[in-house]
Amino acid sequence: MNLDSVLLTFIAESREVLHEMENRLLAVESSPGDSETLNAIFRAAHTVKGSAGLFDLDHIVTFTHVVETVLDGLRKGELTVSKDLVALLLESCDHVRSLIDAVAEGRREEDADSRAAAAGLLERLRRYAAAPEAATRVRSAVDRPPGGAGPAGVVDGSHWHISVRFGRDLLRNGMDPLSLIGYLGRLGTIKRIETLFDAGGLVEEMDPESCYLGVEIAFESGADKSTIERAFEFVRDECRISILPPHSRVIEYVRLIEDLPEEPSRLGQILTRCGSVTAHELETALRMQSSASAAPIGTILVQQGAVAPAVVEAALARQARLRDAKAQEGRSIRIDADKLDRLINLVGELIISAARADLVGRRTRNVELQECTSSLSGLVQEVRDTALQLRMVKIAATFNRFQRVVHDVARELGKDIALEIAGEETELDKTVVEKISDPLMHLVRNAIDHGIESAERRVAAGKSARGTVSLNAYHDSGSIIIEVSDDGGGINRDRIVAKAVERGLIEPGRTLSDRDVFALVFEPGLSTVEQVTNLSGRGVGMDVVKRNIEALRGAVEIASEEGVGTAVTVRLPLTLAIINGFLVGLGDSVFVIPLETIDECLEFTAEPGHDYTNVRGQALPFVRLREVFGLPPTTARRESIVVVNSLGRRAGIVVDTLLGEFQTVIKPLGTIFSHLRFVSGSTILGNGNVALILDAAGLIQHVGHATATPSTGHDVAAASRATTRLPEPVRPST
Amino acid sequence: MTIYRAADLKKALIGALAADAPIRVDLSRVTELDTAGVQLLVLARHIADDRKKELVFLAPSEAVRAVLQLLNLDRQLGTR
Repeated sequence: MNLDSVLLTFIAESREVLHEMENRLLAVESSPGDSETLNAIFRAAHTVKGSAGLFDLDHIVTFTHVVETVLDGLRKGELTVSKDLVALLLESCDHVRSLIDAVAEGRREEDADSRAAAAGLLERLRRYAAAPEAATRVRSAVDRPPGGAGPAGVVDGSHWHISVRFGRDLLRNGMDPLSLIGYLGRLGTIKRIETLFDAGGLVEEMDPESCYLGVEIAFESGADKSTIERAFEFVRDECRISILPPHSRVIEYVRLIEDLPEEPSRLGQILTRCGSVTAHELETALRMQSSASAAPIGTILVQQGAVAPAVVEAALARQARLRDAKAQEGRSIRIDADKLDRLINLVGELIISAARADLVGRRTRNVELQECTSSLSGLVQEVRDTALQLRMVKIAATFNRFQRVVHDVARELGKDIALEIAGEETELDKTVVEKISDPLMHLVRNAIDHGIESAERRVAAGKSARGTVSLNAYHDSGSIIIEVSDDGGGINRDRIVAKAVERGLIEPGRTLSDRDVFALVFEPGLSTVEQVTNLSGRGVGMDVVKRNIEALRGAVEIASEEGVGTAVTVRLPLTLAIINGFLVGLGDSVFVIPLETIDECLEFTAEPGHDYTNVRGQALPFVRLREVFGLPPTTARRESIVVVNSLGRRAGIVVDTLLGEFQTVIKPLGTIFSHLRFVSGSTILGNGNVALILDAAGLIQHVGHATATPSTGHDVAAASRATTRLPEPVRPST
Repeated sequence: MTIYRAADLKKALIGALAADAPIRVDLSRVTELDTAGVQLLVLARHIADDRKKELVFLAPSEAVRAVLQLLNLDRQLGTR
């Protein structure tokens, strides 16, 4: 058995369980009486504790045990849900997560810092834990049946009896019975343990690396049978294990004695010594059995009445769980993300090959081949979509994380804020999700910190005291749109303008559209916050947010109305791997424009002397791609304009020729090309040539700047000519 | 006393038990004791009892004491 891989599973599952626990904790605050939620939280803590024990992670077990006790109190209604308690439990959840993270980094022991953190939390938790423990003590005293013997045939002992004969090869397989017993000690109290050593007659031949031990344990615990069984999960196949619940029938002990290799009389002694069964009880049962020796043991059991209900219940519960687990397994499987990436890469290569085959088919004018390649490319497209679909995940997980952020930050700032989430079912590529979460975090924090006003101010402004931050996601023409909005104070337009003038970003006295003004927020060094709270100054400004989003080929925009609120709109591509592209030619060079950004294609016309054209009565600014990339003026007789659109802004790109749609596998550009503007990646064409993918949003912005300052428009083009050198088409050595 | 040295330790213990003299095993500097080690202590005790030889485990270290207490073997082995 590979323990490392089991440990990895443990880490992954614990993280999931903790995440679930956190979500439930946040939910429980709003519906404190929901027993299903409380049960789920308890189970989560219990699962972490149980599995941590298997790996000897004592510090995690000890900590979660206390958490579990508090949760148990909540579950039983001995404690009531309060804001403080939920906050404390959330902190505890975080602590356990940090412990798990430490394990993932190979630190299996607790360090001084986390021990101190644990001690602080434990002390606060114990204040709560003390209450239910006391209550339990009282209750169990009441519940205990009045003195005297129990029902006939049932042993009096109120504890479990666990009998284990460890497998010979256990030690060689890297398992140590000691840690199993140690773990058992954490599930309950070992009242008495008898260790047996069975090397029999082969004292001299005994193999010191084999295991000859067996234990009989009298065990007191509130855990159920499956929990106790789980302690032996990894050794179950190798060992002989019997677990008898409290108040088992004597006959079961008899059966246990019969099943075990040791002499019955000796075992009888051991069991009696454990206190699991009294000598008298055993004797009676043995006598009964010999008198009914003809009857099979099952009959005796029936005669004695049913087995203890707890056993049946445990068995049923276990079966149900197994069934559930199986059904779950049938629905989904875990896959290594690397394997998926490899699949996507291969699909990319497949698309390029198919494009090649298609090209050859057309060149040779072989109709049959062309039919083949056309059906092939249809299939390839489906394979592409399916493969990409595999990597799609719902944004719900990312959104729900913000519940916690809003909860914590609002608490910290003393504001009352609700988070509204919509569109959490929207799916997007896993890699995009991972990379978008930091920028989103910043936007949400901003909304809470700078957007929503204090309760007093809100009431004074005639709004409800409770502020609302909304997260929304939806699909829109090949992109996903994520909106972060708040109903706070909005952005003071004049202050931004003043600040921008002060920083020399804009000339004084210029009138700008709202859109342009709010876009200034994303400029480096422009913060309009008057007071700095401990949330700001984290080193991530809006300029970094913008850069991160643009690195994902996305775009971001702000709309705001003073006194009403602010909305930040983030547009992201659905995937980073493969897109539908549109090929355009510029002399011998070929460029790709992402198809979803294209509105339409027009024949080139221009208002004489201006860089804009008239489209159905509206002015459309355009940019000549040849100028942008510093190519000599065209010799083509006819040029075309490709109209691109990003976040509602349109601009034209003037190109020589239109070459049609192309499935584009995005290959990253090397770092030496990282300074290239207006190029977001490269791809390989069917003929093996490289085409550069244009950054439509960047070009639109460039057009905007160029038209906003017509006098310098030419200088911008000249500057870009100087700084951007088009690389010769080369085949990357992949 | 762990599985890694169990074979050597077994040889040493059996060798000592074959001799006539009473045996004293100093456990004060044992830093780790696993199941394989425990088995050797129990084995030595069994052999000694069979042959009516004197076997004393001396000054068990904290590690030894903890394990033997966990398994409730301390009295049987005579370490306390």
